[in-house]
Amino acid sequence: MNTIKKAFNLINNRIKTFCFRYRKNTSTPNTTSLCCTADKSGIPLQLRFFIFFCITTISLIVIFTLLIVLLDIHGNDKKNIETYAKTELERTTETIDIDLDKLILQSASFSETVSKNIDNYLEKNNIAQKDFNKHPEIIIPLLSEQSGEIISAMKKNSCSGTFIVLDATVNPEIENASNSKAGIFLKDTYPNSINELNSKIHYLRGPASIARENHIELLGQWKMEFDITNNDFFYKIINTAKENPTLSLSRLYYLTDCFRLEGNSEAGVLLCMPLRSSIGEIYGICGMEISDRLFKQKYTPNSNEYKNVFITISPANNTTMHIENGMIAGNYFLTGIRSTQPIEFTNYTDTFYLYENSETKYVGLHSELNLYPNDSPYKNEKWYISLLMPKTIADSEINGNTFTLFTIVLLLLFSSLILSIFISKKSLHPVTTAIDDIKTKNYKNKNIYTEINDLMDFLEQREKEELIQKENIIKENSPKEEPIRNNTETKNTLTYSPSTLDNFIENLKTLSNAERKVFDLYLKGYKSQEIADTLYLSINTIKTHNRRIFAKLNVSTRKELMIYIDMLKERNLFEEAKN
Amino acid sequence: MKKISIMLILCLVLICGCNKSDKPSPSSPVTLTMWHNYGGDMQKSMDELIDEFNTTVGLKKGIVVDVTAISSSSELNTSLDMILNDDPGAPKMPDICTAYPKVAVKFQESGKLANLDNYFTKEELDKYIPDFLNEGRFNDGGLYVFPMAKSTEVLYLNKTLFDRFATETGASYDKLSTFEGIAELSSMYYEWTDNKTPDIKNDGKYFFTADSWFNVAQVGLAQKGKSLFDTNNNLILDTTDYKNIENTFLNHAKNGGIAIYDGYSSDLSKTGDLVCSTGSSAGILFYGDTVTHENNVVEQVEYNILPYPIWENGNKIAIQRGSGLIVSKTEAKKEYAAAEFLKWLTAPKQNMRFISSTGYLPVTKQAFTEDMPEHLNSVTDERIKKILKTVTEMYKEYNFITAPLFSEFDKISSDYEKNFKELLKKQLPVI
Repeated sequence: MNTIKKAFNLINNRIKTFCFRYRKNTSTPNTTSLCCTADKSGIPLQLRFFIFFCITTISLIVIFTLLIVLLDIHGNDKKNIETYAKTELERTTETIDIDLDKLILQSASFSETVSKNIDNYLEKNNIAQKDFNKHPEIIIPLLSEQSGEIISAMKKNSCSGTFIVLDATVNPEIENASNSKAGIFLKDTYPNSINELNSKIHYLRGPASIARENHIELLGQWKMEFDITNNDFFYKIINTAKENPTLSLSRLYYLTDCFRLEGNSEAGVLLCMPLRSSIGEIYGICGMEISDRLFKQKYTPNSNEYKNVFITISPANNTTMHIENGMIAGNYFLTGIRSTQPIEFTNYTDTFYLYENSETKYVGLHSELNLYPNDSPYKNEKWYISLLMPKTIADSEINGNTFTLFTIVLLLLFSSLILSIFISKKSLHPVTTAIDDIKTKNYKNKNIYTEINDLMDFLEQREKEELIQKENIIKENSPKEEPIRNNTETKNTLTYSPSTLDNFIENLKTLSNAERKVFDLYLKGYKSQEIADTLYLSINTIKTHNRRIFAKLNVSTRKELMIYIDMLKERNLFEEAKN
Repeated sequence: MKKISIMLILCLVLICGCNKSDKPSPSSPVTLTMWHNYGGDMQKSMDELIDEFNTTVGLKKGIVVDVTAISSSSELNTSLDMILNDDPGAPKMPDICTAYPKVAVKFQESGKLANLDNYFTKEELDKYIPDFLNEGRFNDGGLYVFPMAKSTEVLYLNKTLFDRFATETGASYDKLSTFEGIAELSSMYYEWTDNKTPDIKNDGKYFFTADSWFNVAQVGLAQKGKSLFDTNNNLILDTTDYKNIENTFLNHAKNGGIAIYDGYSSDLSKTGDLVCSTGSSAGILFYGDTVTHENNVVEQVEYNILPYPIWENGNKIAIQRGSGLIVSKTEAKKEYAAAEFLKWLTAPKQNMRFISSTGYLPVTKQAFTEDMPEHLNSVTDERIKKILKTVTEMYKEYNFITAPLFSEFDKISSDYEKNFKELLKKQLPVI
């Protein structure tokens, strides 16, 4: 409503300004100065027209604006985007929580089964559980026995990879053997994207013979064993499991940062579970991979309305999110906005946070991912799920397009004022022309308004009647005087006494220089247009002069003037008149 | 006033017309889903290119390319077949997908592909190598498979293993230029490796395999001026020339040395279980520069890339391969966006970046004839340098054939592959 008030004030001011300027520009008398005459006899017609058009267009604009406001389509999306962000974050958090819970349970089950299998294998081969990694010759057959389990885990779960990494190697003699760990890593290069039934398993790590036994193709980046040189999490999980022998497996899982395993073509997080024997010996780790691509495919937010929104999960502490170690899901130009640095967050609006680092700024909101239970050794490691969008885009979404709408309304108002001026002027022009014609008693010009043409005809007729009446009056008032001239051939015959002519000559002295120049040319027989051309004046100026000349010489029409001029010529008073 | 009214009406019409544009824009973007088979080491190159498009040209034009699947050609074909057959659980067809003409033709016949001629001017198409374009033109003359990167078949040779074998047995390197010579060496190699462990019989190693036995027969007959198909697109397997090809491998398979493997030959090469194989030049990145033995000892080896072998008395002919990109028939706005992406992706600059990290051949005249020879020196990956050098030489000396185009071709070639492997399996133990 403030906007509307402002708009009305603006219009009022504009009208006042316009009227003031108009009066200033048209303040010369005897022109179509309607504003000027308004001082004498009410509001000028053009101003009336202008106000009429203004009121019409402004009313339409006000109705349009009111409709937008009343129907809540005025573009203020703040409420909408807040609701969307909260709902979407809530929904995605719930989905990820459920999916992670499933994976954790499945991983625990997978770990228990594999651990039990290893127990049995060792028992069958009379090898103590603590000595399993001292027998490299058993590693490949042992892994081979687990291949069915790992393939099954791969097929049962919505993940992009499954793995077993034993704390052992098939060849302790080779260089860097302490960091070379035997195991199997299966990759699904087709995760979730096309069809789970049609998922295709490839072999990223593990003995090639096991892959061939199971007809699994090796990936181009295949290697036989894992190199854990740069993967601290391996021993972290094993040591934590050793330190917490009584804790159930469902409390010992660990989610790694998002990283690219050596040779892996894509990054991802690993949900790891220790492989614990029946007596608490730790054989290694196992678990599932969620690749960056799978995360994107599964958790990209519903972006029909807000295309730039994306979801991240990332390790975090108080006010910092390590987005560079997390995963992103969203469709819109993600690479361009992926940050490689931690990101700090602060309050931005009552709902949203501002997330920024030296690279970029996002706006959004987050919640803590319910990842580790309170009795987990990793309970202090927090992960946040956040729904973000680039700040520039968020700002425009939050502010909506109110500014644009306001600008449009202002533009409409401004253009309606201009149009009103233009239309009122155009509409009034024939009227002002007609008024000028009436003042010069020129009733012959045709006008676009029929009513004015009727008026002209009426005035012309009335003037003729007045002339006849005037003639009769003169005749009646001077019966004894010899007529100076009696032109019976013309229809508009006039009779003038010498005193009338003398008055006429006397009145000539009252003409200004400019009027005298015009009159002199009339004496020479010029017509109005010729006079205008000769004196380089407009026809309107000549008309103005005419009106003043007629008034000063006390004649009503040009015809009457010409009669006086003829009389001057006949009586050889031409030179006197000229002087 | 009349003029002003007409102008206002025209403006309104124009504004309304613009809203129904067939072109995307930043305010009205389109997202294109894409499946491709550039996985493994090639994925990084492709990912980078797509990311660059999305953040530059795509951003300006309102086009987002979203890769939803990366898999091998055969796996993509399986999914495409599901779509074509409208199988239960079939995925939604992507907007852009890599596909071989033999697969694409089935979609074209079902009216599911966009004719790319509608989105390229003659001048734009003139920039591409005509043979590569023609491979994607189908019976109605329309362009349905757009070339992105081409390949041919070459002979991959583990030179380290071969030299070891040649030093001890005097095996001639020249024999690798013909299939007859390779078959002969296969028997020799199996025997030589078997003799390394006299206590264990029949534990010799494999010398040769082909990633596509169908191509061996198809190209072999072409080299002899014959065809594997009759005029009705039926296989002709009872000719003397074909029997010669078949028997060459069957006879030597009896002696061991020829591997039958369902996966790619590069799998066997990685573990030193194979000396040489014919396969796509685009497979170079699947060959490392090491061999990993069963005890996890990693041996540094050297690979040589040799021209495709010739059958004795045959002409120098090889097959032209490489999938192209197909665009599904959909709303005009998406088809237009897909064509814009293809134009950008196959422009010489982008095309050279892709081939210099993958070993494929570029598809534009400028990239193939001007940029590539210069670019060879700046390629840092020795494997790619080798493959590009060999393939460039082959393009000077060889003639190339493309697989015939008819809807049953895919099935016929798959069945042949399966049957021929069965025949070979009867001759030798399966790995």
